[in-house]
Amino acid sequence: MTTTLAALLIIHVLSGVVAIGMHNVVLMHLLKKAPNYVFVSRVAWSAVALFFLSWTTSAYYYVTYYGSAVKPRILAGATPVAHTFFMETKEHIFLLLPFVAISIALATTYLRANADGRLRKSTAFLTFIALTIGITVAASGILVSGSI
Amino acid sequence: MMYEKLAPWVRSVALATASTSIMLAVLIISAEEIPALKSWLKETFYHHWLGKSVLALGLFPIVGITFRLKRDALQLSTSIIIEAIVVIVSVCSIAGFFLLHILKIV
Repeated sequence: MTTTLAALLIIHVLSGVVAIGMHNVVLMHLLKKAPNYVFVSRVAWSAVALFFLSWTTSAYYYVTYYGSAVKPRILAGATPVAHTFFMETKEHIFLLLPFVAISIALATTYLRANADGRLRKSTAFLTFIALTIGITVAASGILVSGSI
Repeated sequence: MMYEKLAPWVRSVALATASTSIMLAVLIISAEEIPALKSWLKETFYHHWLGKSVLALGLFPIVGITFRLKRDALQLSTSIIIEAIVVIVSVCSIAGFFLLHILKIV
């Protein structure tokens, strides 16, 4: 692996994990009755930026390196299911996350001037779903990396 | 206030995300089941995953603007709940399909 690919992979993992952590922060604040929406919306928009960074860096690594150098080793190894199920599922369900993150960020921005309790609760539910997807994707990534 | 004007965007982006989720789930499963579709994605976008990414990035703003232009009375909280449910169903469909695939059921 070249230094550039290694750097892209590190950026992909770090930005993704930090974005997931940010969604956790957003969720914890949305569970309060009167959250600081200025803070929450800033964290939510930061998560959006990080998910897009994670997406673009993973795209280059995945398209130019994973398929030719990593996938064959996993398929020939002891746990091919790491690719056939976990990687296949992870790479695809990740595609939904940046869009969900935009929706969360927009809703929290709207809540800055309109403290709507029902919208706060539904956005908290959506953030919980995004967080669950994010943790699942990250755990699958650990499994894929560990199976090489 | 600038933030009050965001209400139609909150609604339209929620529905655009739901639509994009459905499109992705259908496209992902169809591309596995229809080799010609996966080949078209590869030939057109260099890689099938890039093709799915580009189509999602293209559909999302189009659907978002379309819903924004419609005068919809759907409550914001309801649109977010609809989005959450559609995302859950899409994710379960994708994961369920690959699970059935490795079990050689589909």
